[in-house]
Amino acid sequence: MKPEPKETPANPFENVPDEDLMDHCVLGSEAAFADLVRRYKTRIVNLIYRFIRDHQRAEDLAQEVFVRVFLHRERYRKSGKFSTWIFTIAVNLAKNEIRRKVRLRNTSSLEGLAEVAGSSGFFLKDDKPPPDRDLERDQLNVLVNAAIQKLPQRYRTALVLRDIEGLSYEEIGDILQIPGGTVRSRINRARLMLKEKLKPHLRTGA
Amino acid sequence: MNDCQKVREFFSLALEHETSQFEQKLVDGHLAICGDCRQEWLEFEESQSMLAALPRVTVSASFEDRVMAAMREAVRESRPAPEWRSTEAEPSWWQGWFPRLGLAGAAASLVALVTFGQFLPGRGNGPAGTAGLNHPSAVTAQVTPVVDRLEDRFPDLPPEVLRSLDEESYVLDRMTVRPAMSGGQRVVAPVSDEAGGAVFITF
Repeated sequence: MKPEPKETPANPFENVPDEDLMDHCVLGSEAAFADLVRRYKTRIVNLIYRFIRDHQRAEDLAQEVFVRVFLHRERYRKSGKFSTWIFTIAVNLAKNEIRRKVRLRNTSSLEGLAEVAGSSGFFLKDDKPPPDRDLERDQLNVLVNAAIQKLPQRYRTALVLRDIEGLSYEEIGDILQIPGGTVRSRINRARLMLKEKLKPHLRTGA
Repeated sequence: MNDCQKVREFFSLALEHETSQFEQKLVDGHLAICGDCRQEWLEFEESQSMLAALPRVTVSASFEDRVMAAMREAVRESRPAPEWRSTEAEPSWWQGWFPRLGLAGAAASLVALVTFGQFLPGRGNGPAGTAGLNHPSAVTAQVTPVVDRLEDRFPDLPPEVLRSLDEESYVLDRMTVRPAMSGGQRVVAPVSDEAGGAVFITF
C-alpha cells in the first residue's frame, strides 16, 4: 500500500509567532513580511478607519504602516509584543492624519474644506448606508460610528483599541504610554460618553 | 464622590467580569436600590452591544499586493545611491608606487638632463642644462649615495625641509624624493656633492 503523500503546509509561517516572523523580516524575508501583512491587514485598516472614516484613505495609511514596519524592522525589540508595536505605529499615523485634516478644516480655503468634507466626511457627515443592506442595522452602525467620531481623541483612541480591536489594558497602556489605572478609567469614561451620545437611539433609553 | 459616581466607575470592570468580589457586591447592592444607576447600567450594556456589533470594514483584494509593491519601492528608495567610481581600476599595492616611480622618473630625467646637458655645445658658461633650473648645485648631484646625515649634505636646505626629509624621504636613483610638503609641492633633492643643494620641483 502506498503511503499517502504528506501534505505540505500551504504557508510555512502559519504557526510561527509574530515576533519570530519579525526575525525573518530582519533577515530580509519578504514571505515572512507578507504573512504579517495577511495577519494584520484587517485590524490595522479597521483601526485607522475608526479614526478617519475614509475607507480608501484608511487603506493608504495602513499600507504606510506596513511599509514602516518593514523599513524599521531592525528597531523592533522582541521583548515587546509585535501587535503593540504595529498598533503604536498605526495610532500615531492616524493621529497625524487627524491633525492634518483639522489643519485643512481650519483653512479658509474652499478647496481645503471641500477635501475634508468630500473625501471622508471626517467630523462633518455620517456614512451613507449602502442600499443593499438592512436599513435599520446600517443606520445603527452609522449612528455608532458617528458617536465614536464625536468622542474626544484620547477617549476615542482608548475605546477603539479596547472595544474594536480587543487589545488588553496592558497593551493599550504600552501604546498610549499611560499607566494601567489611567487606561481603565479612560476606557470607562469613553464608554459612558459613548452611551450618552447614543442615548436617544437606545431601546433602553429613558 | 457619591455612591452613584463610585458605582459607575466600576461599570466597565463589571461588564468584563473583572471586578473583585467586594466590588461586585458594591455594584449589585447599589443597583438594587438606585433606579437611576440601574437605568444607566442598562443603557451602558446596550450601547456596548451596539459597539460590539459594529461590522469590520473589508480590505481590498489588492491590498497585499499594493503593500508589497510599496515596500519594495521604499526599500529601493532607502538604499544609498551608489557612489560614482572612477573608471580607473582600484590601484593594486604595486600600482600605489607608480606615482612615486613617475616622480622618480621625472627626477631621473632631470638628472639625465643635467648630466648630459653638460655636453651640449654652445650653452654658455654655466653647466649645460642648468639654465632653466637656475640652481648651480643641481648639476653636480649625481654621485654620492644618500647618507644618514642629510643636513651635512644639504646645508642650504631649511631645517624644516631637512626634518621632513629625515622623516619621510626615500631614495630613488640617487635622489631623495619626498611627497608633497604643502600646497602640492614636492621636493626632489639630489644626493649632493660637497656643495650640497636641492632642486624644488612643482608637479
